[in-house]
Amino acid sequence: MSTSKKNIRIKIDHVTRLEGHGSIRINVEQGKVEKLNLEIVEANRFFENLVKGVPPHDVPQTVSRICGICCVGHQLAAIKAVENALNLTISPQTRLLRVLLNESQFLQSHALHLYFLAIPDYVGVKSILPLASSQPELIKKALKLKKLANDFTAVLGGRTLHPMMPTLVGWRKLPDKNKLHELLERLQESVTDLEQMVDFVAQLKWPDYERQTEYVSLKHADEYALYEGEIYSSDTGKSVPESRYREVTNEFTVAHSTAKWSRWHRESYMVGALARVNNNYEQLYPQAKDVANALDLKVPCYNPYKNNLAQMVEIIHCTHHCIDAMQQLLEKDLQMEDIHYQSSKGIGSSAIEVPRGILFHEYGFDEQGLCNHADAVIPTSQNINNIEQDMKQFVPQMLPDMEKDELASHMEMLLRAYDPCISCSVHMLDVTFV
Amino acid sequence: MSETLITLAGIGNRSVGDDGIALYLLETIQDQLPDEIDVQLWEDQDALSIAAELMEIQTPVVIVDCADMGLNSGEYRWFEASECYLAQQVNSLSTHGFGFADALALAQTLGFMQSVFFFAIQPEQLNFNEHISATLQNRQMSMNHSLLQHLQQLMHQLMSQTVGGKINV
Repeated sequence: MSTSKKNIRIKIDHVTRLEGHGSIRINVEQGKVEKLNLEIVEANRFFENLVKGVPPHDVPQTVSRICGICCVGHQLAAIKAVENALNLTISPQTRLLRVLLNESQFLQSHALHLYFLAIPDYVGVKSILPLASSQPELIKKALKLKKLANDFTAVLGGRTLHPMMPTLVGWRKLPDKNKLHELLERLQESVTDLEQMVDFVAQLKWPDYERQTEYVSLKHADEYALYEGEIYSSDTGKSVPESRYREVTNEFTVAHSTAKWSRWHRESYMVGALARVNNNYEQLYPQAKDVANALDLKVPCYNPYKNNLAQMVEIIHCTHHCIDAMQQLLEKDLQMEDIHYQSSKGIGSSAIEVPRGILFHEYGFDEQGLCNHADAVIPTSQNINNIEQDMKQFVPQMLPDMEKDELASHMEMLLRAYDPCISCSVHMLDVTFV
Repeated sequence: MSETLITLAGIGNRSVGDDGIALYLLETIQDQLPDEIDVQLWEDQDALSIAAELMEIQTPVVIVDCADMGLNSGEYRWFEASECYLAQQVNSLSTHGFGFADALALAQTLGFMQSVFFFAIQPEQLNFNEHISATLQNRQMSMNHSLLQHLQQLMHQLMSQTVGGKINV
């Protein structure tokens, strides 16, 4: 009996191997999709209220706790937004340290997601343990990369989780130069391991489903935009400044999600590794372009499963960029900078690329210099709408050829391919400070 | 410089109440330990990072951590990994549900062969606060004493098994 004529009910509570909790509901009647919902069931977390009354330098440390994976991203986004609110400027040294810190998190997050959460899908196993049994050398390399990235964050930021060293206009304590040299050596040594990790990814088979959507990422004239840039749309080929991020996100609510959804020029848009590679391919390091070729990742790519390939490409890009940036940093003696600042009334926003896509933060401060306004729009809340739109297009295409279990598995894989951080995506946007 | 005979690792999070006890314990006894014991604090580490740390250890390892053992709050036990069943979360694996048992299983799958001993403490509360419960605080001296004794015994055991300058465990 053709699957397309069957009634299928898929209810996955909760999808595993991602951050936080999300469920998938699909109801197919006589081969027609009657209902398809990606349900986000995490409780609201109210972080934007937690910073009410907090002085500027404490805001980044507080909001870092939104996420244990993207803590660096939230911290840097908050630092940049607060500096914009107070009209504070930074030195080239501080910018370089922040760029490196941000990319250390790309390395650890992409290594974690790609090798430990996503790839088990593509070799047909349920978790990392059977994969570790069949591919021990590969997983040892992935674990080594994760540890290298953790140590990288710790050397720059003081600790792996919720770093204490970066703050407004500078660094509370500069990284140890000898440890930076050691890190540089380890990064250089990791290149050989990465080549073998790429070879493994290159022989995996990826589901062949495409849906063209709007790809949104930062864009910078001089570099592959991760730390800063304007907000670029593949639909218009134009950018808007970070201060106009609400024109991009247009957040709205749906009944089946505690996370807000976003849309810009069409029904949904995608952020993250694939959006960045699609929009900024030419600015990737040559070694990363070579890997994109080896993985047969051609831009523009409309296959969302290949977000995982884009993550591999970014691991290569960040590794080579960090090697160059670290060498640049070590050419000069690091100088301790004055981190005192003058608080004032103001409002400022920021945008930064974190592993899962663009992250927006905005803060306002009153006459006493205390926070009276906060907003954070995280990548997963921007992606959820797009994931559900993908599912709505792919399920009818998959129905004729797939039984229920295979279909359910492909929906889980699709959700995982986006590397969602569902805990972070749940928050209350509307904040009223009294 | 002494050769490391034992790696003593404390796992915990000081922001989750009694979960920080291992870190406080090791900080307290650190100065009383011989050079042959390498003390590591795995503070706020996710399980994959712990697996990565385990992979680098070349000695028997003692893990100090909170554990739900069905004991009264503040009670503690010393035991070997082979004496217990460590519940894994392999089928619902996310980084939110990935615990030490999974980290150890992953490391062992990848070739980690060292003996693992536990000094585990039954917590009273694991809420979001930065305080060790009074029950555990009151027993900390006794915990310190017990842990030091067990470490001393393990050291003697390992040294007696040393053949030609190498540890034969």
